Amino acid sequence: MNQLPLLNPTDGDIERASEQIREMVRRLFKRSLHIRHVDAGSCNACESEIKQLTSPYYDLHRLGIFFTTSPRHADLLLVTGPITRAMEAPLLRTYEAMPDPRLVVAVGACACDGGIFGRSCLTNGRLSRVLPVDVLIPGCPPTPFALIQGLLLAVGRAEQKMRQGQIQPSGDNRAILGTPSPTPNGFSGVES
Amino acid sequence: MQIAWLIRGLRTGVVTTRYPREPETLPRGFRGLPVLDVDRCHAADGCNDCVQACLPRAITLDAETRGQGDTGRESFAVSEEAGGGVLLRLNYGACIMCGLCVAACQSTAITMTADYELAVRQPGDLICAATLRDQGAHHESTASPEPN
Repeated sequence: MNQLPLLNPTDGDIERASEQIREMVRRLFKRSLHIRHVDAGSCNACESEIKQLTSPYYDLHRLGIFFTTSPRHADLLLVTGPITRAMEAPLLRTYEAMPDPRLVVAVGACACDGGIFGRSCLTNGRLSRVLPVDVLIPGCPPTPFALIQGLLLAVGRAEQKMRQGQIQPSGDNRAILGTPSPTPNGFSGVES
Repeated sequence: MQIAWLIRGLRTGVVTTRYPREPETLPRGFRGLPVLDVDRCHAADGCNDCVQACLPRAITLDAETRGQGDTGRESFAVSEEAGGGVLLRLNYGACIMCGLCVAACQSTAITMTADYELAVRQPGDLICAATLRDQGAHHESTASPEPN
């Protein structure tokens, strides 16, 4: 861990270091995570599901995950909606107000890929056009269980089930899902 | 009065789910992850009912989107290995699990599963593809999608 900084780091070095840092961040947030939720043009279906997380049935607090009303207290930014132009600047301000290290989670089809709104003059269409995204939770809206899985995935307490997780829901490899990709897709959070 | 509450509470027990520790089965009829049975799909014979039905355009055929630019969705790169076949892509990120593709599919190749654990770390992991050819369906890995 305490290596001297390399003079000419290669891509592999940088990748390894970033993976180490990511692992450290996950360990840091493993037992206590505070969430700031920002609605960036959502239809409120995702909010309805997020609200259920604090209900006695799902009881997110038993996992050490809490919602906070101030971005200064937050470790994780939960974003819903197709990132409208009007909410873009407040969203960025919220992100900047959060202390490092911080995680960003896109919730719902809109934040993941535009959903039924897509990209237009009024929406960015997906969160990764605005912020670096750590975890994407698809679904319209995702069930509270999916949200729990996504939040635990963000802090390294759950396994990714799709693609690299080799999920095979129909029992054999004839399903479209689980198509093994030769390399992990180069499709990083922030687009150039 | 309070005794009655206590008795009722004790009888009800704990209602909180044990989800991450124990898998939770969702009620019947829950629409989760749509899955394609490649052997039954007739996309190579010119069928594109599911593509037509898909509201957020999460399902695409590469023959249809060839040469199109950025429409706010993924730009669907033509697979190099898809010689003579079609490339059916499903973007789970855009999918709203409405089930219209299941209703539209005449050969019942698409089914909705109750799987809900779809969170991923990379957006590319949400895009799945299958190459379909006329004689016998092939299940091949495809080129990585190009960001638009």
